[in-house]
Amino acid sequence: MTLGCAAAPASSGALYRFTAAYAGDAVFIANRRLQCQTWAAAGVPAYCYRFNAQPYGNTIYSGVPHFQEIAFVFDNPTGLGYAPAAPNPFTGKPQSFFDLATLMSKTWASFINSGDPNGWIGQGPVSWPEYSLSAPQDIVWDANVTNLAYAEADTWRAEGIELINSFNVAYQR
Amino acid sequence: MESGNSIPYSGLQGSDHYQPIYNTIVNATGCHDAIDTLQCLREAPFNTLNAAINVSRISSAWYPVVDGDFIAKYPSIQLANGEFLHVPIIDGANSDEGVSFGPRGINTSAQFESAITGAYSLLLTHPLSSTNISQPAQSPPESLSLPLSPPSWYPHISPPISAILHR
Repeated sequence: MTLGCAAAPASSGALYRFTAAYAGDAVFIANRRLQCQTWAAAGVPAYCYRFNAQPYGNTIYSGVPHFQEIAFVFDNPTGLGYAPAAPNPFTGKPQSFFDLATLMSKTWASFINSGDPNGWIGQGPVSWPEYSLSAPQDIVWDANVTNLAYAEADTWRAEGIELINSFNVAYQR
Repeated sequence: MESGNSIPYSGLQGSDHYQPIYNTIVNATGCHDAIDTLQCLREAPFNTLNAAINVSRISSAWYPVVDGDFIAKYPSIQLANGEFLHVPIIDGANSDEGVSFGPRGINTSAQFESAITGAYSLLLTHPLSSTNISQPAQSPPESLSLPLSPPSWYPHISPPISAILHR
């Protein structure tokens, strides 16, 4: 996304960037990674993603929070069902956002149809790599990059995420 | 899988935790004298059921129950044991999930430690004790948070927040 000079509200806390990273890992991201690792270890295909497009209605310091991928997975460019609770997430967005919704929804449909998110007619140049333990990768969906997606090494914040995952039983989950 | 996966975002409880809640609903709906209380609830008028359930202590209590049957164990244990359906999956999360669920107003490491061992109860049904939290508490926050990219959505921070925000 386009980043400018911005500061979070003071009420967010001086450690907001740190606490937000920790909290996201603790509730969803660490367990997502562990699930992908578990599938790969069992030899079962897992396709893992990080959604990184920022729909209308978010501030620069809210980043890409929860739920934002839904309108893209379901290719909902008119924002059907959002009003009056929320604005159309595509309001004022460039064509790339609509193209990302098309790409993601077709990718999901391909997976649902065949178990493979790749190889469908009209797919772009980026393939979604199957998760592996030796070279773990997730796909990043991003409306602001060429081809709207790219594979990245799923190794970021590894130490903290492994620590969180080591406490799952203590977390009662 | 979206909005979570096999290992839930919140801690889970057993049937022992939910039985008193169930009893409260049964009593509030007048079903306490029924031979089959569950069937009584199924047949209760909507307004009666809604009045019994739509109170804060109960309306926020609907999580999966580790009953040893429908959900046999903590899901992390089942995954570790290979006790899951071996079918292909899509599984993902968004860059900044913690913006939606993280605590606010944390200014120091001490406050952070206090938050995750106490008031920050979204994750922890029972907050971690000081004993089993000792490992993360001893780990400097920097080691947990660096590298911070991805995601990185604070490239420039106005003073005075800048000094420690990137931690």
